[in-house]
Amino acid sequence: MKQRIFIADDHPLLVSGLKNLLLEKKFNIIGEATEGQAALNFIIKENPEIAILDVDMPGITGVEIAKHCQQKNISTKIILITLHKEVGLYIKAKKLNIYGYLLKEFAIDEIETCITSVANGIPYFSKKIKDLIGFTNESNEILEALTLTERRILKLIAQHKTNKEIGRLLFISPRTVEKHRSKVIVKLNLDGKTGSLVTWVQKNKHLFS
Amino acid sequence: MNLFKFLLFSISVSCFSQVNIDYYTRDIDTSDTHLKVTYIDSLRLSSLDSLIKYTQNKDLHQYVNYIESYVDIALKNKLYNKAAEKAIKGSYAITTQLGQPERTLRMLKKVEQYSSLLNRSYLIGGIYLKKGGGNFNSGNFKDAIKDYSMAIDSYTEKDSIFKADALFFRGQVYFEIGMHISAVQDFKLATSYYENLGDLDYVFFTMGSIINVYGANGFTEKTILERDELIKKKIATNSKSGLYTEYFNQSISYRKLGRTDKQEEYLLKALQQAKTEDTLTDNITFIYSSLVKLYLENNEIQKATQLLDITQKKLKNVDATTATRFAYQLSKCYYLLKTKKLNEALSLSKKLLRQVTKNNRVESIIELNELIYKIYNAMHNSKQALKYHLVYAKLKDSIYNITKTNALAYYQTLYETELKEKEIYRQKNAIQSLARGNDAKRRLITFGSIGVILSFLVFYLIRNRLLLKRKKILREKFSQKLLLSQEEERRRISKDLHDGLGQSLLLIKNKIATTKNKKTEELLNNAIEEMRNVSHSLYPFQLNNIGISCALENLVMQLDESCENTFIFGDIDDINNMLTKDQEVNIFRIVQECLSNIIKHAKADSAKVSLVRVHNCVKLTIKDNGIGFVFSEKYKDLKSLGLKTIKERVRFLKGSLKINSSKNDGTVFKIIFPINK
Repeated sequence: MKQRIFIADDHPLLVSGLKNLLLEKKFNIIGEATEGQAALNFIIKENPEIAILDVDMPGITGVEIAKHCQQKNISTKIILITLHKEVGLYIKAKKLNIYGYLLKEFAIDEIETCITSVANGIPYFSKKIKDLIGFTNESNEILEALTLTERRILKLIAQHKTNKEIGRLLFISPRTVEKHRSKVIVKLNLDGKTGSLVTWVQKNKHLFS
Repeated sequence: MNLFKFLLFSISVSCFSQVNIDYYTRDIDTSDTHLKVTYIDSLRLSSLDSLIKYTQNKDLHQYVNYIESYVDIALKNKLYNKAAEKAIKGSYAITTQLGQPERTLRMLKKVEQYSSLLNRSYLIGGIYLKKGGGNFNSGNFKDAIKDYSMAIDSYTEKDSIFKADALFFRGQVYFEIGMHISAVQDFKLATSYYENLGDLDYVFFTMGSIINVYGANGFTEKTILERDELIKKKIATNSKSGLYTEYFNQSISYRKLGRTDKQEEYLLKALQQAKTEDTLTDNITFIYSSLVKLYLENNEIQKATQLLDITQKKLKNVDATTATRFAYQLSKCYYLLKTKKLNEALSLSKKLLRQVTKNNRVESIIELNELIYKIYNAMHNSKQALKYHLVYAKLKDSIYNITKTNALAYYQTLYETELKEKEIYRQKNAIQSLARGNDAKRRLITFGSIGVILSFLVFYLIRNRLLLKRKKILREKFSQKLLLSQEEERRRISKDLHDGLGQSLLLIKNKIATTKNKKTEELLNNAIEEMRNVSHSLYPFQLNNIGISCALENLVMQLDESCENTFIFGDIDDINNMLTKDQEVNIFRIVQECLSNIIKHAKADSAKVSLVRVHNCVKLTIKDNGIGFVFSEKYKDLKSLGLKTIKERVRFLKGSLKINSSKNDGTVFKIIFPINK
């Protein structure tokens, strides 16, 4: 069964360009809109499998539509397509259970892959965004358990800083730093040997660059 | 009654002469030496001078002769000052001691011709003063007044003692001719002169004279009272010169009241005092004569005889003056009458009457007329007695009238003086009240104008203050508006770039994608990236959905990544959707400005941004461990807008800003503002 796809962008030329591209690739386009409210109405009414939404739209933005869908339990999978390259947007998108985040300039290259991936239930994020943010799925999983401060301390350990230096930089006492370190060791399930944390950090240096 | 006046006068002159002789002779010798004097005359003058000195107080007649010769020779040789000096010196002896006032006048008139050539004011005045004395003693009262007036005018300020004397004498003459008011005026003026000179004796003399004026006007009781006071004062100040005169005058006053006991008491006091004062025989003779009269009246003939004998002896020894002799002879007449030697009494009293008629001494004439009437009465010659009695009665009435008129005139003058004083007082009051009015007016005007000026000042200051306040508010509003419009402008440009230029670039890229031109595509990608960066840095809130907390986290992260040397991190609470867009923008800009300052200037190792929500407030703290700065220096620096802008933004947030910074110990910005959307 062909996925029903809906497109919304406030720029008509872009809408038609994307539509043409997708039609060329034999996708099933069931509708389009140039304005937020119309797009939301359409989604509620038609309940398409996939909705490609611009973030910046008059009336309601793509993010707000996504929020709305999540609240109303609408099953439509949303792909955001935007010029904005923001970490915040990325984090938000993740929270709102958005399936895809594409940068417009790479849309032509990536849209096909993205739709296929999303159709199969796998979220797809533009590679460029991942570069920008520096987080990979892997790193995210490992670091999720750690607090912000702990992550900061690990980052500074990676830069070969002593406890004293770390304390000074973070405006806390070296003893507090020591406490945080022991907590991290527990969280990461490392053995209690001295230097085990340093060794781990050196090994996973890429996580903190 | 007329006696005491002469008595007083002679005392005055004598005192005056004794006191001032030395003064006269002081610088005479030098003043005429430039003139040519014949050798013989100069010899004669010097020998005469020695003779005068020798005979003075020893041989009165010789002394007077020498004086006259000296004056003649000196005048001949044009030694006017020397002539005047000797003439003045000799006048007292001739007038008072010899009792030949006409002789004095002759001598003085010779000198007077040259008065304009005298080069000392006291000499000119002295001539007139002595001439006045001569005229007075001769009974030429009008001439005497003229002379004394001339003397007063001639004396200058430095001769004030002589001027006072002249005034005193003129007062006595005025008194003599019944011009009592003028007399009192002169006495008073003389008193003030004497007071200034510190001459207590003469102050008392003049006061005594004023009291005599009261007596002459019939205020006998008052006179006695006042004179008692004067006597007490004289005794108290031990200024006993002339004290016997006061006793004598007091006895006369008591006689007027008919108190013969008191009269005797005071006469005896006067006698005792006169003896202790070693005064001239003349004056004592006066007192004796009065006592003789008194004793005769009281029928104490033995005492009277005794006294009369003593008087006669004394008069033989001394060359008595006319007045003294007259007093003695008068008392002798009474004695003769009492002892019934009527013919002798009659002839003597008639002789005396002729004498006083010549001198026109009214009171003596009356007394003698009465005496002669009594003598005729005793001789039982009623016809003659009646004749003299009529004259006596007539004269006495006229005198009584004169006294009454005098009293009336005196009272009238007093009344007028009082009226004048009242008038003056009234005018003074009017002037004072006018002045007070003027003062009040002036004060009113002054205070009024000060008040007006002050109120203007206050008004001006208040207005100024208001204007300044309004200006400040305006400026604040303006800066807020400026910040907002700046943000608005940035937002607009950012949006235009993003939505306009960005979309166009995308379309172009899509077109190029078909051509498969990889190089152009790469360039376009760069262009899009660049555009995105510019847009983002201009206005980082393109997405309404990204809240302020996310934006701040992004900012911190980005800056941390871009700064190699500074570790920047933040603990930021979620305050998304709690503030207005403008508030969010301001917070973001504050953090941005602070962090960029830290990166640029602080040389810090680390910087921390913490945003904590406490109830309805947000606490924003940005601290670093850098080199710090001095707030006032940076704030005053006109070029650095950063701090000012931060302050302005805090104001917009209605928050408070606290900056803690010290050299080499980092900086802390603390901002607290309320959440009110």
